[in-house]
Amino acid sequence: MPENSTKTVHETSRPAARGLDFSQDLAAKGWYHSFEFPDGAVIDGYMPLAAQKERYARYPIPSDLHGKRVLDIGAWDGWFSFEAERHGADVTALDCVQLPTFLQVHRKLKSKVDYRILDFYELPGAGLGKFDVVFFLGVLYHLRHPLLALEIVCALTKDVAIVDSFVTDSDHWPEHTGQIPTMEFYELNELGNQFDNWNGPTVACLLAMCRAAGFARVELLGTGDQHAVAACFRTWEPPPAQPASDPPEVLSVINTRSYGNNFSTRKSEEYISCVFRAPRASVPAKDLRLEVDQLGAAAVQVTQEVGGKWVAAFRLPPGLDPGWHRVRLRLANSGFGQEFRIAVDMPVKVERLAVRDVCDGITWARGEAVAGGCLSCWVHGLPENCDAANFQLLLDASPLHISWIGQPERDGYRQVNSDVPVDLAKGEHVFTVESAGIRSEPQSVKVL
Amino acid sequence: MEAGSARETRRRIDFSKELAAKGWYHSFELPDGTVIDGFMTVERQQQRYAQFPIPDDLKGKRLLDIGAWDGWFSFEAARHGAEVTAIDCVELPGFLDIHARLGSKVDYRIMDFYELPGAGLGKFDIVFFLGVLYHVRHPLLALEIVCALTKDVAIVDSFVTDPDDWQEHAGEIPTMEFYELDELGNQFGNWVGPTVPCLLAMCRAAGFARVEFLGTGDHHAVVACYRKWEPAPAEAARDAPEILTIENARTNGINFSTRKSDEYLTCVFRTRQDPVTPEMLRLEVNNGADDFGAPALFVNREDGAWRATFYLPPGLDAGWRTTRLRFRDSGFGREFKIAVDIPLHAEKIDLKEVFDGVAWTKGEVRLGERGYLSCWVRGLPENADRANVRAFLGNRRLDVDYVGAPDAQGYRQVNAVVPGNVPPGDHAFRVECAGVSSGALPVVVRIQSSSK
Repeated sequence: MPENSTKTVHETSRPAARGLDFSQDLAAKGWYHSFEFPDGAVIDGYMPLAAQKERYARYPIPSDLHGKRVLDIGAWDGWFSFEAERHGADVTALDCVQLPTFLQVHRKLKSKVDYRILDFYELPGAGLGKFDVVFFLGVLYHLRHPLLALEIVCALTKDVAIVDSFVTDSDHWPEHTGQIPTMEFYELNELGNQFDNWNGPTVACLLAMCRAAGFARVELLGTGDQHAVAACFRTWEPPPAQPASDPPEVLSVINTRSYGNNFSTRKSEEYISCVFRAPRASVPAKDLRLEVDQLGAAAVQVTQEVGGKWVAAFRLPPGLDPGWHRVRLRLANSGFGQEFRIAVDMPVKVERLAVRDVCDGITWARGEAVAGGCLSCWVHGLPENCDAANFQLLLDASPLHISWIGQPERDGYRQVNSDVPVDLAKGEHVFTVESAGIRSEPQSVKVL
Repeated sequence: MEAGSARETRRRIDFSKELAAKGWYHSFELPDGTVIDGFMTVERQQQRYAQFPIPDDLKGKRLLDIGAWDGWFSFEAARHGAEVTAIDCVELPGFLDIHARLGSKVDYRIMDFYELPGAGLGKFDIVFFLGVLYHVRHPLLALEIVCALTKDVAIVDSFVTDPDDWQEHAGEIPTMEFYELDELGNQFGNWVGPTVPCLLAMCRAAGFARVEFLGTGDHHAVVACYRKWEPAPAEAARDAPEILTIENARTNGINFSTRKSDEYLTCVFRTRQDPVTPEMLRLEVNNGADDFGAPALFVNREDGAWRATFYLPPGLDAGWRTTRLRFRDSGFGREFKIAVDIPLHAEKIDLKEVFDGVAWTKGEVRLGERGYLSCWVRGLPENADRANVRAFLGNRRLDVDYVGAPDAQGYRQVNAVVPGNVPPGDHAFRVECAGVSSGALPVVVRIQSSSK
């Protein structure tokens, strides 16, 4: 909130206000960060230089950041931005208001840090590209939608995001192990007498939200002084040099919602289902390593089907660009199984649809089908990303359940199998294929 | 509470087997005598519906049912005369079955919740948001979206963690549980479990004018969230506040952006009332036929006046909006206009004259600790304000602290503050807005000897 609101006339109805009001200390210092310049000049801010260096040293990022892009969200006076730049990074620093102190240091250091003023939620549309490393320090609890914020951060990160937030139980969080994670909600100035604080998660809740945002791995780096720091990785650790186990035999990779191979990044919840056989009797979720291109996804659920096949669901990793992406699965101690492809945000493009050889799927008798049986046909003109959710086989006006779609054959035709309903009336029916508003020439099918 | 026991309690809230056995969530008694026996009884549904503070006759009202499931509440509202839109994230055969049997005109749409704001459905007098909140990943964002779609009242019914003992938490900071996986009822797709106070606090924070607790029961709580204030009293018990300004708390200007995540109105007023508390204040922003209310978040004393800060009500359409303030028991003070999402556009800006803002001497400014320049400018956009009009002395940008209304010739007074460290001598003064600059006029900076 822009208004300076350290003192309000209105007595808040909640006496349980938390501490953490450092506004007076900060106002006295004038600076939040401390600085030590190459010319020996020193700025003594609210946070001691030693604490800043200690924090930075804890981050699991290379000492040499040449060739790396770093985003610092909520840079404040900018110490972490300028420190990353000193280590060679190409840095973008972001804040919701322009701070004269940041500009002052920027001038003094003749810095090349790209300083932008944006509302946090404007970030995805700002066209900044992706970053190897993202600093998200002391911002999360200022945002009204913390999980959405972490999704946005995740989508912008290629390697690791450092998430540092206020937490409610920094000194006794292990006592809460095994409990359901919680967060406090601050409607007004309950936290630190400031109006722009919205939530206070427990350490466990912070970690759970980071995982739920779509990072592959989340590591707690430390807690203290009412805050916690987590490293959120987009990638899995490298596969073992010597696999101790055979890879999983991957049978299919589909969209959990639509059963197709198309995925939309605009859906709030999009999951990948992976069906596989495993060379072992038990497969806990924590042993599965799914990759979409380079990005890792953690399993949220694993179940074993009758017959021994496993089905695991993974959150679609945030930030995928439109197009085809490679999906593969390994176990923690194995190599990868067979690769599959998924289509992300790809339009369904169809110009003309042609159908040949509509036939009974068992007897191959052309123009015939049996109620309760299988109907096969060969279709030309289906888009590369066609799946059972984006085209239809119609008998008269009723869509048939598509049971299988083959790869294009040499002449470009793809075999498609479907189930014929048991209660379908015997006699002549009109068969068509439809996709993206395009319909094939009708053919006649006689149901026996 | 023991660590394990809360987890077990949440897991037991699992009605999936009963639901699967019934096949229906809602129960129905259809006009042809058909009875469908679902998980929730017809009596319970009728009891819930009767609890909602909505008129019995809904003719002429638009109603949105978010997450309609089998649709009992949609069809019940339609039976009361409402024009109903029902949405769900998957198409349910049960809903379609009842829709066909009733020959219903309910508009049934399948979409992701977050696709709602862009779906072009317009606004609704009444919104049902029943049993959905805890299934969405971003609960406060969801309530903001619901608020922006509501013209009169939204009924928010959600799972809560403390329906039976929430009063024991009164005075504590509200909390919500976060469900990463299937902790709640063994089901994936449940994300948050607020306490009753947390649910109420989030509804208020979403931007509703008034939030009324209707009741709890069986793991859930029901809240009526109103966009409008109760009517002003017929007989004012006190004088209306004397409004000095209503502006954007972030920029001190008159422009507001609905794309900003936190946008606040601030209102400076005088009154004989002392003290003034947020509960006394009733701010309204007009949006077509509706006057959306905004509650005050805090009130500060300021130079013999009061400064109160309010949420910008969600869902305002782009354009000029009238804003006014009253006390609970007074009439309204003077109206102010604010510009919501209006683009800034200027073609040509004429700078007529520039004066010292204190001595009114032309073409100069006398500088003590600071100085003041006043000028007259034509061609500024109608929504020009302190934040988007820029004044320059040479390359130095000045703080603009006033933009006046146009005079008969269309000229507007603009005042700017000159910092005390500007060197004396000749400078070029110009004004800029929407990327268009005026021509420059000469200004002589003189150091005022009598200043200290």
